[in-house]
Amino acid sequence: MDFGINLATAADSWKVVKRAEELGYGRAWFFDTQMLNADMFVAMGAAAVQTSRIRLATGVLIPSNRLAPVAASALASLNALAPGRIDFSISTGFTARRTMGLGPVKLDDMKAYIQIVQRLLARETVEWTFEGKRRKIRFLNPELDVFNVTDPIPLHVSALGPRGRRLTAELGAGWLYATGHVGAATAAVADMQAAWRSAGVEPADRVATAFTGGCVLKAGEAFDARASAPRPGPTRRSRSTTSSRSRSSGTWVEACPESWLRCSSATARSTGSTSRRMRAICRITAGISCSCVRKSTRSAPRT
Amino acid sequence: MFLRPEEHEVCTADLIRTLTFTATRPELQDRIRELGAAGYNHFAVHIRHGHPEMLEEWAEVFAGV
Repeated sequence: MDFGINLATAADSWKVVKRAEELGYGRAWFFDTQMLNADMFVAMGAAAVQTSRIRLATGVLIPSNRLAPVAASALASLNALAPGRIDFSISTGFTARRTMGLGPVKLDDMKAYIQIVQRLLARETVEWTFEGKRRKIRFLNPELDVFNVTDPIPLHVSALGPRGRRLTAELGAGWLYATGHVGAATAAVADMQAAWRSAGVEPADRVATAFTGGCVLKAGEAFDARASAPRPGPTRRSRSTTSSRSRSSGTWVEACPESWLRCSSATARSTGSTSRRMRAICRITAGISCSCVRKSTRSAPRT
Repeated sequence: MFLRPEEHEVCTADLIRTLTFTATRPELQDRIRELGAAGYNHFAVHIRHGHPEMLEEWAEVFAGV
C-alpha cells in the first residue's frame, strides 16, 4: 500500500504537492472540475516543475472538457516536465458536468476518447471524428522533443459500477474507487479483481486506488465536534448557499462542495429516490466524505 | 458545506463515522489495513484547500500502517 492525496485543484496546489512529496506521499490527484476549481493541467504543470519524485495524476480527467488530441498534448507536455511521473486518470464526469447542467458522458464515448488519447501518445495515426467528419490525425513532430511521448503514462479509470469496472478491465487500466466505507470498498475491489482476471489481467499488476476523504480525530474527540472559525470559500457560491432559504441560521460543515453535487445526483439516482431527505443525506454524506469535517453553528454567509 | 436547518438531523456522528474515513489514528490505520488486505494498493485522501496541516496528520496515520 502506498499513499497519495487528492485535491480540489487550486492554482497553487503545487505548494501542497511539494510538501506532500517531502512527507513521502507517492501520488497527487487533481480534480478536473472547471466550474468549481482551478484548471487541472495548469496546476499540474506548476506541480511538475516544483517536484521531482511524486507522481501527478489527473484525478480525474473528464472527456468532454477538452478535445482528445488536446488532452493527449497536455499529458505529453506534463510528461516532458515530469518524465515518467504522469498518470492519465479519467471518468464520465458527474461533478464537472453537473455544474454545467449536464449528465455524465456515456461509457462508450469515454472508451473512444481514451483510445484516441492513448494511440496519439503511442505516436499512432488515428481516425478521429470531429465536427461531423472523420479525420486522420497524429502528432506531427514528436521528434522535436517539445513534449514527451516516450515515457509511459499509465491509465486509470474511476469506476463506481460494474459496467465501468468491466471497461476498466477491458482497457487493462488501473482503477479508482471513491469510498468512505470499508465494506462497500471491499465488495467493489473483489468485483474489480474478477473483471481484471476475466480480461486476462493480473490484479497485482494494476493500481487499485481507494479515493477517499475524512479527518484524523484526536483521542476522545467526537465525530461531529470539531469546530473552526467561519471561512469564506468556494462553498459560498454553491447551490445551497445561493438560495434564500440557506441564508437562515444553520450549520457550516467545511468540506469540498463538488462531491455533494455528484452524490446528490448519483446516489439519488441509484436509489431511485427523489425525496428531500434522501437528497439531503446524499449531499451531506458526499460532502463530508470528501474532506475533513469541521462543524460550527452560525449564520450562513450572505451571497 | 452549508447545512440547511432541516438537514441537521441527518448529519450525525454515525453518518460521519460510517461513510467517511474520520476516526482516531489507530482506527484509521486498522481500516486502511483492511483495504490493503482486500486488494487496494493505493490510498488517496483528500487534503482540503486551506488545510495543509492535514498532510502531517495523515502522514502520521500512514506511518503506522
